Amino acid sequence: MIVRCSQCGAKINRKDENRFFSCPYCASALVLEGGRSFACFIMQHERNDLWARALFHERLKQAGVAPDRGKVTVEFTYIPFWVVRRPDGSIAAHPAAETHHRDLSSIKVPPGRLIFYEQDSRPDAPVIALSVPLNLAFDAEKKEDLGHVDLVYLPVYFMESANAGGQCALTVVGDSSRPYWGVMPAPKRYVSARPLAFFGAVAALFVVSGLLIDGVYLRAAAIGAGGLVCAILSHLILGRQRQ
Amino acid sequence: MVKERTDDIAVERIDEPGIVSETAGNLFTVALACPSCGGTLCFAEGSTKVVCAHCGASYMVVGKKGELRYWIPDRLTKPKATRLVGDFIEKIRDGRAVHFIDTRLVYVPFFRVKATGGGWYIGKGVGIDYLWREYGNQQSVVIPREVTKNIVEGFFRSISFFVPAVDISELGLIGLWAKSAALELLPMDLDKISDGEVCTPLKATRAASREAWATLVASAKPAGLPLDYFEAEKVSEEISLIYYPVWIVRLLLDGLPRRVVLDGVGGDILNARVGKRRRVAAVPGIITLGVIAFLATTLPVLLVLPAVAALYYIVFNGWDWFWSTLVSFFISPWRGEEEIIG
Repeated sequence: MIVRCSQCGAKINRKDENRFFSCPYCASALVLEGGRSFACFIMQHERNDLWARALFHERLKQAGVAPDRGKVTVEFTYIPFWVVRRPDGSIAAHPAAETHHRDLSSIKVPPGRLIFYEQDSRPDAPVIALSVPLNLAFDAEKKEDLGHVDLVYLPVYFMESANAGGQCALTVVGDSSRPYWGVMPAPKRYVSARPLAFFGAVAALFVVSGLLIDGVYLRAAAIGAGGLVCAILSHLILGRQRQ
Repeated sequence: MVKERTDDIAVERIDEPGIVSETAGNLFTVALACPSCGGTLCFAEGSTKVVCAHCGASYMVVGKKGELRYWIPDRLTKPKATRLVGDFIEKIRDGRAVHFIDTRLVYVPFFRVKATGGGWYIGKGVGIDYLWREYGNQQSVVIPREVTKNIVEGFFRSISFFVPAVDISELGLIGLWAKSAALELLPMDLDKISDGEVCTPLKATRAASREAWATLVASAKPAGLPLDYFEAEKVSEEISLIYYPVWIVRLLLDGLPRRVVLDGVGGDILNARVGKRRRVAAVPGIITLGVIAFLATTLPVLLVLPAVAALYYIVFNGWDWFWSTLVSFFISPWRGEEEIIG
């Protein structure tokens, strides 16, 4: 944002909303005054695919899908959002661009530094152009009810993988560790070989003990004792499963 | 084209960098000059006194316009923050591979609202009345009894209300502001913050003010007393923004993303969600197998009961549900094994 120094008349390029600053030309201390309708910001962000892929990998694991990180595609882009700070304290963000991506209507703006979006702050990553005006974005609300409105370009990761038994997708905003949106195939429970073998052996042990030992009480005691031993053994044999 | 669709808000070509400045034409600058010599005064927002570098005159900064901004300097360094998190992870990593991604210093903004208000209320409360009764033999007794009384009370109170100016739900910094009340606050000067990312406050100042006032009013109202009348007036209000330093360390633990938030002042771990290795809960499965084996070898006809139950669930809930439940019953991780702080 360019403002004019009241002392020397020079044009000063302001990067953020800090009110107190000094003129780089005449060194006068200045205060920014006056209002504005809204400003256009971009959230400072350093792209990190490693973190985004790890989030995707974790979500796959939670869904019980075998991960294959080699086939995950990561798309990183800046998307404009109308960010409304309502007087009741709530903050709403609505996409200001139509994209081919899935629903982005209830996005949460993560903490971060917002700087004015200008020529020198333009990121290397692709930026989607504004195409949805404010009155269409917040169709149901009157403008006077909206409160303070800004246009904010947020960094968004879109990840997709089609290799694991169905379409998997995840959307992450900036440095957030909570995926904003995701679609995963239905979870499939599978049993690895070690627990299967262990419980098979336990069942066989119990059945054989039951068949060989006469007397109800003796049999019950033998199976109970066997169960105790198996419970202890389970810690050694099954042990710790990888997270 | 866009302009036609946005009515009164001029957003034409706003997606083109450099054009935005044209929409901010109503902003102007005011020079801070010394009233005595006219020289430039340099001071940060939030300062209460200033000395002119040219003529040496001292001034007191007055006025409540705008919100004062303060910051609390970070007392850790990046290597120290990483080491503190490393020590924490070392205790719980349990042989898992750790890969640090990055360590960042972030200044999180909080609103501090100092509000003072006064008022009065009328209510009906149950009070204790004491009845003095004398007997003829020169003895007396005090009899307490409950009576309904009209209560008229006045109040005058001040609060310091802290509310985060950004969404901190992910960072888990609830309660952090209580510490800032005891720390020295420095007037915000971005030139002095060489390291770290200063988060932009998103919450509206008016919203913080409203929340503070609602808290003050709620604290002034007596609990459990039906009120006939309540009136409160705002006496004064001072809103300031405090930037608190936190370190955010991101790492991979066995390939899974984990984030640890560290207090930039005290070095405490404020928030961490680091799962421990899962342990298999085999006992329920073993007990089930034992009971089934006992029944099968003692009174096989009783096996009909679990068989019928299994059939019922397979038919009505489906095989997938049945198998999933069975597996999770036999092989399930111990609960409460996550190391969660914050």
